[in-house]
Amino acid sequence: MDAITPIDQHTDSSDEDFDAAIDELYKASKWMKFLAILGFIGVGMMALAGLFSLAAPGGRGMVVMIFLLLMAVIIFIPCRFLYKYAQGAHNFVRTQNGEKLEEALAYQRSLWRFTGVMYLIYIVLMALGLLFGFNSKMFSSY
Amino acid sequence: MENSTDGFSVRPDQNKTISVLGTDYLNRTVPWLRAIAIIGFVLGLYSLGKSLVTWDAMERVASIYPIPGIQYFSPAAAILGLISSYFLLMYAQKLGTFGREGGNLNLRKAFTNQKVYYIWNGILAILYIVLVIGFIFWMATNYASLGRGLRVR
Repeated sequence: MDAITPIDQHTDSSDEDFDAAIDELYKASKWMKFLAILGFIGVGMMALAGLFSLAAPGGRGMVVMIFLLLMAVIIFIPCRFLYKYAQGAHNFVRTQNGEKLEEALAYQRSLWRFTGVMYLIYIVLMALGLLFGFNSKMFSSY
Repeated sequence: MENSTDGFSVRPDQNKTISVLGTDYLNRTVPWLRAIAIIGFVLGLYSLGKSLVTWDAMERVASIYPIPGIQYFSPAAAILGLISSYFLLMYAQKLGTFGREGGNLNLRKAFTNQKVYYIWNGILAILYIVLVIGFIFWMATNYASLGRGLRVR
């Protein structure tokens, strides 16, 4: 009688694969933290540049300061999400508490959702800029 | 009967895997990842085209560039950005596969692609910092050699 090799029902869901997946996530979390910290440094430098721009003559300094501080806030938010995601992944590996993993994945979702919304706003502003630039060129020829 | 233990979904006939809530978070992330990757591709191609046009114009006008190799910077930056978008798209694809089919193997592949994406961006960030420091150093060196910079006694 031929030996029948039992079919492993979990070939796609083995514990080894899950552990390897978490290991990959853990390795990625170190780079995520690195990028987030670089982002925080950049935000700090931008905020400082904004404060120093107050010394510029005329009213331009105030405009530049507001712009730079606004950009600093916009960049800070995804950096924080990225840092929290990395921290959550790290905590999960350390504690093996699945709720930490859920928390980390929630932060990842927030990160990409925020980045996506910013991209869309950027594209809309770019399109409006092109449109008004095109229109003003049209009218200037009359 | 599903027992939820510490966020893991553990059934007698099932191995360790991400909980239902975690899977839901990942599924909701996929559309945003895809959108950002595609926008990144489009912007990257636009930047590449624009930088090649600028390079061509500079070649016709300038015989000596103020900074050696500066004409290569913009096209190189655009290509590096395109590669980054590609890695992000791969992550989104694998995560989408995990969302549809499940399975820890698909999850492992997705997280591998995610790791590659962040390693690539980390290397680019380090490269950028090295270039900025190198540029500052080059400027300081060349400024001093022109005789108008710091004088060493």
